[in-house]
Amino acid sequence: MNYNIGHLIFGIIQFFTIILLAPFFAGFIHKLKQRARGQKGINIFQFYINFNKLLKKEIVLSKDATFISEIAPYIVFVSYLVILLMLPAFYRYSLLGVSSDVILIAYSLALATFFMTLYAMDQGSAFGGLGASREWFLTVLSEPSLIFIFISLAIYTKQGRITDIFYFIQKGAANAFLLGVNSDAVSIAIPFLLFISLFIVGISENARIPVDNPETHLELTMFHEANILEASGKHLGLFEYGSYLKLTVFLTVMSLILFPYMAVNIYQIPLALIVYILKMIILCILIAGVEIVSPKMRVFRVPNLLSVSFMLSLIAMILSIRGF
Amino acid sequence: MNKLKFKGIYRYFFNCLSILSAAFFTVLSIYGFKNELIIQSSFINFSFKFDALSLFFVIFISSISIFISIFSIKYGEKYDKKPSLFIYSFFFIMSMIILAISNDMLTFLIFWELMSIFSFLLVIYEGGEESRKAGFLYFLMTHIGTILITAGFIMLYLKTSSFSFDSYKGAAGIMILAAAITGFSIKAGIMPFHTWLPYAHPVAPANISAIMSGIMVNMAIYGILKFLFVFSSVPAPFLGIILLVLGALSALLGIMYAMAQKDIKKLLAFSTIENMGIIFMGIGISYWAKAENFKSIEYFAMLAVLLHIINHGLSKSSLFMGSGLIDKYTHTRNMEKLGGLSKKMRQLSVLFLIGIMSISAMPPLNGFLSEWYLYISLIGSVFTGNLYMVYFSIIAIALLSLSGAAAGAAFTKLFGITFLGKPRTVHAENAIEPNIIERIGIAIPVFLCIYIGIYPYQIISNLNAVIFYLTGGTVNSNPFSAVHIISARPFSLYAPALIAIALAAVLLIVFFYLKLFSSDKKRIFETWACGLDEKNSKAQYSGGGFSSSIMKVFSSFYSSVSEINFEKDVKKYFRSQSVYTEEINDIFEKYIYIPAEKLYLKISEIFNKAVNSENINVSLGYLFLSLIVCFIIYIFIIR
Repeated sequence: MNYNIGHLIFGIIQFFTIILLAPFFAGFIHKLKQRARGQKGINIFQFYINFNKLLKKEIVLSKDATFISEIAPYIVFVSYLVILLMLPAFYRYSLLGVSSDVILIAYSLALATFFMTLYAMDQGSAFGGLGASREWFLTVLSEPSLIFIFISLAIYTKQGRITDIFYFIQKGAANAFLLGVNSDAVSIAIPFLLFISLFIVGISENARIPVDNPETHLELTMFHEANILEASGKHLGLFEYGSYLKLTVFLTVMSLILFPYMAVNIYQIPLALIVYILKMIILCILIAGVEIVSPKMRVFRVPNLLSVSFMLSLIAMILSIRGF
Repeated sequence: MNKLKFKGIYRYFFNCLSILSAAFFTVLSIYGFKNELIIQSSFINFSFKFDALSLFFVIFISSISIFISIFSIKYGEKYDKKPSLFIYSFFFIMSMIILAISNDMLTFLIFWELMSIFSFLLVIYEGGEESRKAGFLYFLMTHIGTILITAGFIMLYLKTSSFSFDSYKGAAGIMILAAAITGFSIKAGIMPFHTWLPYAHPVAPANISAIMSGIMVNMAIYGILKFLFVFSSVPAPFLGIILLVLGALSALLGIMYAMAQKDIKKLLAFSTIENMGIIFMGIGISYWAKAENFKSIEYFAMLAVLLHIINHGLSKSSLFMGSGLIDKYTHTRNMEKLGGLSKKMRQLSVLFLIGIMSISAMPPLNGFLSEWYLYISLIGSVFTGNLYMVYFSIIAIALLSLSGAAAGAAFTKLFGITFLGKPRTVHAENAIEPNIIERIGIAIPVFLCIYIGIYPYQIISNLNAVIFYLTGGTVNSNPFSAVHIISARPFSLYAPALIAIALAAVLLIVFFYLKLFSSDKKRIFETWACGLDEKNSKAQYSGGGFSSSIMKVFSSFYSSVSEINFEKDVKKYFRSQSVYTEEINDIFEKYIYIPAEKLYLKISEIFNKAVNSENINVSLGYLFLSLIVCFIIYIFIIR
């Protein structure tokens, strides 16, 4: 891939667009859930207002807090930002596309988890330890399926970089469905299985309802919220924004598996952006739907759900080995 | 006072001697002779040679032992009363360096044995029941290993009738490889031969554990590389698959057991088993690819192996040194009694954190780099379409990713419980910042971790010489060219420098944005505890609690027994005390080693009753009989 200044500019535009859209998607899901329950619901842009307000508030640090409390919010936020730098959403050439290896993305997610759980344990609060323990419990179970999903994509397309992977699927799909040329065998089963698998992992990693319920403050239901219970001010703002970014990362990958369409040149960008937002809204509706119809699960039932996801990604991986 | 000073002299002298001789060997290996050096004595010839592999290992051993020696100049203070520690550790380091350059079988075995004996003396150094038991187990296991290695060498000798390594090239058949690799795996602590490792590493003094865990287990890897890639004659792809599976099992089970530990050093020892497993996986893939002639997979797997040896050596030795400092300044290694050390030992905690990030493979540090190359070679072996390898590499990917996540959990537990939160006991409250020399000893490997993590291209281009020596090819060390694993098409790229720059740049932007557009007010207040003003620091989450949910899901790996004792006849919520005991058993130990021990004792008892007698004639008869049996074996089998 040869990069020129145009790729750089549109890569930057893509990066900031996703960052700016992230709280909107989270707010949209929240609004949908509340409307479905018959509540009036928040403003769709409420999370932007919250973030702005949190920045203006003072930070309350614990007496027992160490340097971890000062740096962890930044590192968690920044590791999601770096993933967004690699991820193509509606433009093929993301800024860090040259080094956007799928395993690197999976491990960068683990880096964020690592620092968030250290933050949780920093203040010596029993809630923090509980949250950290449960967060790792989920991560240990969902990491294999996440890596399997990414590696089956890599094996399916024979590409290791996430930009190339989705460009390959996009080209293959366009050839097959628009021109009728089935040059590189296009599979429907593999993306479908991977989508379901990634949906389950996404729900568990993003603290969504069958696994976790971040709206309550009851310790029985807390995963994500227990980790950041002590955070306040801009630290809380960074953690909250980080969770929107994480949700957006998962939704974007899902949207690309579902319907890969990325702009290759400048003229396609407006259409690609519209398609991207439409796809994301559909996915948001899907997630809100799942959250509305399902009750919160017992903690030790979650492994069953995640093993379903692992099995699906294993099947997808076996399907994607087609003889080389 | 005068006498005390005199005692310190051993410490200074032998640590400086270690540093100087390690530096001497490094310089010698870089600029020195390339030919074989033979020292003749009356009955045995010692033969030494620097080839690319020895060069790599000599530099590796010397540099890490230099860091550890710098560290023990100050850390060794508390061992001044018994200065044999410093003498043994000097000879221990020297025997390993000479082992790496020895070029014939007898020299190799002599220094291998010296290494084992000095490490055994160091394991039992502190005395006491625990270390004697661990020392005995270590002695037994390591000698079983030595027997197998010797058997491998004897078979090689019978085949080539030469002692020199030069004539062994391409001579080792499958039996020789099997014997030698089993022997070396015992030293490397690969499951199911790992039982000695979690006992022997924690009981030794911390600087010795750092040498044993950071360097000594890698000498077994040296032996395996020598046998598999230099001596081996037949391409045996299934051997590679066996190594891959054993490695994956060790990686997973090692880190799963590490998660269950309370003792910091025991946790680190189990993590050594995990990392040896990862190295074994790389060796297995590389050997398999060599046998099946997939060149680039072979090179990348070998690069992963060599890089992981360096990375594990650096981070594990720094972590063991750190655990030694925790032990020295708090007098306990039990993490349930620690907590809040980060406030008292601020710099140590930063160094420890980086070591932990490196060992649990967090990008952009070096641990991730070697694991990434391993993933790439695993994906590559899926691409080959070879039936067995596809099957086993998918399993290996699953186990490796699971162990990667579990490593994150285990080391979060280690750091979170030990360094963060409130001090749980008086031990932790009275900790102070360690001495500057001790911190420097830890800081050098930690900085090297960061350096290799961010800018590995220099070291990869140097490692190419070793990869060329072992496999006959090299990898591309250009920072911005993608790796090609099977076809001519570029597959993927992880450019650590780019990622590190991106991380730093984004971090700076976020930091200054928030500096400008957010409030900087700060208030220090108590941690929220549901409105209670309880000061009980035991109310924090414990290490056992942290890992219990993961252990519950993977309970089939542990055969743990837990029990709660409390007073009877008291109402449920008003017990004055309750005692919780938990015992975590190693499944291999419980289901293989202990039954084997019982069986052995039973058989020997029966044998004892049947044949032993007090009559000396009978004993002489046995002696005569065994001599005849030896003759028969010699005449009919060996000749």
